[in-house]
This record gives sequence, C-alpha cells and structure tokens, in this order.
Amino acid sequence: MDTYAQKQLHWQGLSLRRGGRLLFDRLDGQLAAGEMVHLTGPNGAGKTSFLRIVAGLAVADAGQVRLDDQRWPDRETGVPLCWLGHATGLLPTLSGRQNLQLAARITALQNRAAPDWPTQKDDLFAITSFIDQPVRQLSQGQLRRLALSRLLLSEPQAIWLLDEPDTALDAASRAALDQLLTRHCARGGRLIITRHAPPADFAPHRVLTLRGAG
Amino acid sequence: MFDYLANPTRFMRLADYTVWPLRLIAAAGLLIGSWLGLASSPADYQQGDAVRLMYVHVPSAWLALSSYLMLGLASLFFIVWRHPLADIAARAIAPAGAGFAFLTLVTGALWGAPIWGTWWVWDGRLTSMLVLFFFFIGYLALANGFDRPERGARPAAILAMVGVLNLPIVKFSVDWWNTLHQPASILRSGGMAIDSAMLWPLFTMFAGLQAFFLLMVIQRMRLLLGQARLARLADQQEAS
Amino acid sequence: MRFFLTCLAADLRASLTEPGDILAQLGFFIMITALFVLAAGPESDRLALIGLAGLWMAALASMVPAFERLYEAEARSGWLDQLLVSPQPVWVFVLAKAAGYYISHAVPLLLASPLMMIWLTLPLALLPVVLASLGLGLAGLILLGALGAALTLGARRGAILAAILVLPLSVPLLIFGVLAGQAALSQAPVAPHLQLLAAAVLFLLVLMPLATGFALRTAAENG
Repeated sequence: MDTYAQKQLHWQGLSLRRGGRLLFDRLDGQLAAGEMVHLTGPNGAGKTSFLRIVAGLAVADAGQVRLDDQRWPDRETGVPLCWLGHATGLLPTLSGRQNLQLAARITALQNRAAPDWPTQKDDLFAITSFIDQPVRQLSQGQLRRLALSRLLLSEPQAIWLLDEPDTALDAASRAALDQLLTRHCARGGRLIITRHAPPADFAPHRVLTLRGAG
Repeated sequence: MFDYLANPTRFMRLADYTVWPLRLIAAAGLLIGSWLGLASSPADYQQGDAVRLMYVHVPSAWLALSSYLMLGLASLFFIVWRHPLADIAARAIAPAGAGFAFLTLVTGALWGAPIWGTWWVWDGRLTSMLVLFFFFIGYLALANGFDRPERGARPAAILAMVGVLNLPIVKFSVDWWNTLHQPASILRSGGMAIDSAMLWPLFTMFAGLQAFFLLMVIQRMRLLLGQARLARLADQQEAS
Repeated sequence: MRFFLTCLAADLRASLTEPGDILAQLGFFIMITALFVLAAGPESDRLALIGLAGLWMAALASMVPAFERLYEAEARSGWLDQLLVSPQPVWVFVLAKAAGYYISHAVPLLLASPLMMIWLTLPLALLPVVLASLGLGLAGLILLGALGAALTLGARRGAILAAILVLPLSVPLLIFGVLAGQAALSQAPVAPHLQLLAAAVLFLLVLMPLATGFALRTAAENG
C-alpha cells in the first residue's frame, strides 16, 4: 500500500496544440511524494489541459507521462488519483451523501465511507447540514464543498490534481482546504493545484508556470 | 513501409509522382472503356442497350464497398497509432466512397428501369448498397458534426470500425429479407453469362474508375495536407 | 458485479426522479401507432399485414431521438471524468446505463404493446412472439444507442446525428424482428428469425460496451 510513495510521476516532452495554437512544447518535469506544486500561467495557457493530461483524461500531441517507467495512466497500478476539475463531478439527481458513497464505490474505498459518514469530526467542510438534499437544489458554494469532501475519502498518499478548487468557497472552507493540502503533503501525498487567488500564506514547494501561446 | 510513408512531407512528394500516371490511366480507361461499352460491345439480347450501364454500375459497386473497407482500415490506423495522416486519408476516402455508392444506386436504378418498369426495386444488392450509402452519410455527418473540426476525427473513426464489423451482418440480414419477400429481380448482375466481348469494356472501365477514385483520394489528401501546413505557417507567423 | 449494480441503481434512481420523460416517450409511441393506423386506414385485412411494420417503426421513432441525452447528466456534471480517472472499467458503466435505460424506457413500451396490437388488428395470439422480438430488438437498439450517444457527445444537433448513426446499424434488428412476427402471422416457423435476432443482440452486447467505453474516453479527451 505504501509502495507508491517511492514511485516518481514524471513527464517528458509534453506538447499540446489546441485550435491551431501551440499551448506548450517539450515540457519536462516530475511530481515527487510530499510535493505541493502550484501551476500558474495566464488564462488560456493550457493549465487545465495540462492537468487533464497528467490525470490521464487527455492525451498530449507529443511526449508522455510515466509512473517510474510504466505507462501512465495505468489502471492496473492501483495508484490512487484524485481529480477535481471545474465541474463538481456530482450527479444532480442524487443527494450529496449518495454521490459521495458512489464516489467511494468507484474508487473502491468502501471501507472509508460508512453509512453515517461523515461524522462531525470528519466534516471538514461542514456538509452534514445539506448532505441529504438532492444536489441540484444546492448552491455553488455547497456543491464545491461537497466536491472537496471527496478528497477526505482519498487514500493518504494519493496524487491530487486540483483545478481551481477554491472557486465559490467561503473563507472558512478555504482555510480548511489549505489545512487539508498541507496535511496531505505531510503524509506523503502529492498534488498539483491551480488557483486564481491563493492566500497570502500559501507556500507550495514548487511553482510550475505555463507561459501560454505567443 | 508505413513508417516511411507516414511522414506527411514525404507522402506529399511521393503522391505528387502518382498524380500524372493516375490521370493518364483514368482518362484512358474511361475513354476507351466508354467507347467499348457504348459503341463496340454487343447489347444484351434480353436487356437491350440498358445493359451498358453495367459497365459503370459494377465497378462503382466494387469501389463503394472497397472504399468503405479502406475507410475502416484508415480509421484503425488513426485510432491505434494516432497518426494524423490516417485521419487525412479517411477524410479523403469518405466523400469519394459516398459518391460511388450514390453512383451505384443511380446506375442501378437506370439499368433496372426499362426491365422492371419502375424507377426502383428493392433488389437485395441495391438495398444493401443503399444501407452502405447510409453508413457513409452517417460517417460524414459525424466527422463534420462538431464545432471544432478535429474533434470529430476519433468518433468518426470508431464509427467506421464498428460499421465495418456490422456490414456483414447487415448484408446477411438484407439477403435474408430478400429471400423471404422475393421482390421482382431480373437483375442478376453476377449471375449473368458475361460474353467475352463484354469483358473488355468492363475491365477497362474498372481500371479507369479505380484510377479515378485513387486520383480523387490523393488529390484530396494533398489539399488537406496543404491546408494544414498553411494553417501551421500562419500560426507561426502570428506568434513571431 | 458490484460496480454494475451501483451504477444501475444510480441510473434507475435518476430515472425515477424524472418520470415525465418516460411517460412522454410512451405517449409518443402510442401516438405514432395511432397516427399510423389513421394513415394506413383501419380495414383490418390490410392493416394486419403492415401492422407489425408500424409497431416497429413507432418503437424506433420513440426511442431513437432520446438517445442523445443518455449521458447528459454524467457528462455535464463532470462525473464522467471521475469515472475515467477511477480504476473501474467504463464498459461496465455503459452496460449498466443500457440496462437501466431498458428497464425504464423499453419495458413501458413492451407493456403497452398488447394495446397497440389490438389497434393494429394483430391477433393477440401473436403476443409472445411480438414481445420476444420487440424485447430483443429494443435491447439491441439501446446498445446501439449507447454507442451513438457516446459518439455524439458535444456535437451540434446531437439528437439527429445520433439517429443517423444508429438507424442504419439497426437494420438487421428491424428485419429479423419484423420477420419473426410476420412468420407467426402466416403460421411459418418463427424460431430462425428469433435466433438470428438473438445472435445479433449478443454480438452487440459484446461489441457495443467496449466500443462505447472507447468513445467516452475519446469524448473526454477532447471535451
């Protein structure tokens, strides 16, 4: 279970062209255990595309992402990945609780989502008050908090890829998120995050900048 | 060999060499074939002059079917190896194939009209060709159905491969349907005893139309590659 | 397997929150059949001959246009990305969606078919054959629709486009299904047609989920 702490996630020669524009070219880099990387760049620089490539959702025009020397993504390796894109990933016709239980099932983490989860002490984002309402009745902020609660279900040493996770969040939840990110890296997890307006005390280990086309 | 051809610039250079030979073969084949077909070969004792349409109909049918298979193959290459040239080949083959399928249907109807007394009969072969034409239409609609043109390439490729796998089943089901419904079908283009005098026009038309098809495909591929290169140069110009 | 049942349960739960969709589709099916009878004329000897064709066309017409929205909820909410990132195989999800769609959308049509048969002056003794052929045919159609919906995610005019893709591929299902009913009508052996239909559906059952999984991944890559 802890064996993947040793594994290096790295990418070489990544190039992507979108709509005729070259977004990034011959990108090399890696993400080691315990690292928090802040991905920055101007709007339209391809940050979301880059994250999707690392997540295995998209394929670059050239170059590869690898875990050690294995192809990535490879569902066989069982290295847990937590992806949080712009969309919440919550099915609108289910309740928050049903969605989270479904999410736990998908990542085969049933043991972590007991029927009465989250208990008060797990509830970092204060979702218990609306967790049983159908998702389509919730506000943007509530949806975002539910989506972030998925991170609480994650394996401790997972790879987290977060695209603007603090949109529509109130101050308390933002603080909780920062706490969670620090804790995750301290326990050997790793993450890449994009955020529009990081708080003053945001201290990533590294900053990766995409310059964008032109 | 495929790796060698896969480089677009190299492909275009090689393709340039093939254009004139293909033009000559196509012209020769079509002109000689038409002369042989229209003037110098005999009319059928049963079908009269209408049989001359066979010289266009049969090669067209062959081209329609083989081009769909080529489309499936190009799609397979594109999906598995993600090579942009395979996508360009597919986008060039599809309209040509659709055109020949349409030609097959039209010549088939014209051929049959004097014999059946109507403009269409649900003959097994024509019906299968009609469904194949629908397959082509579906492919073209999907490939061009997205706002961003390159977005349609992979779905269309998947559709083409699924289509190739389904085609035998569709053909079988239409034949099955045909044997049970037994529409009027004097058109047995395969079963007709082909006079040797008819073989020459058929063969030359075959060669001419095949060359014409390949010419259309290659010219279209050169056009698409040229457009892509132009777009790329325009980007670089803009960026600098 | 567990994941299949989980997705199936989620899908059925979602359908139950929108019973209007199902009723609308059922209504469409019934209306098309009624209009078919109006168009064909109710003289029973002629109607019975083409009644089966009308029934099948009504079924196709009511099912095919709705395929485009099969994955709408999953795609728009970003849930599809979550699935693609997870270790679960996508084809299982596709199979669960198809099964869910069959239960929520095809079964009502099958339940309405006895009444439709009466309208079309088809003898009710044919009901078992009609249910078997239509039941199998709709299963195959839904499997094709699963692929069509995946291929057209994000396309313009998705509904028409999905229909154009699915209909030619569904020709064998239509042929075998209608011929089974017509065989029963004319006291001819029904089994060969049903066997061919079952074989075609089995072929689709194996090919479609895999192809659809592929198509969904493709849609996510570019979306």
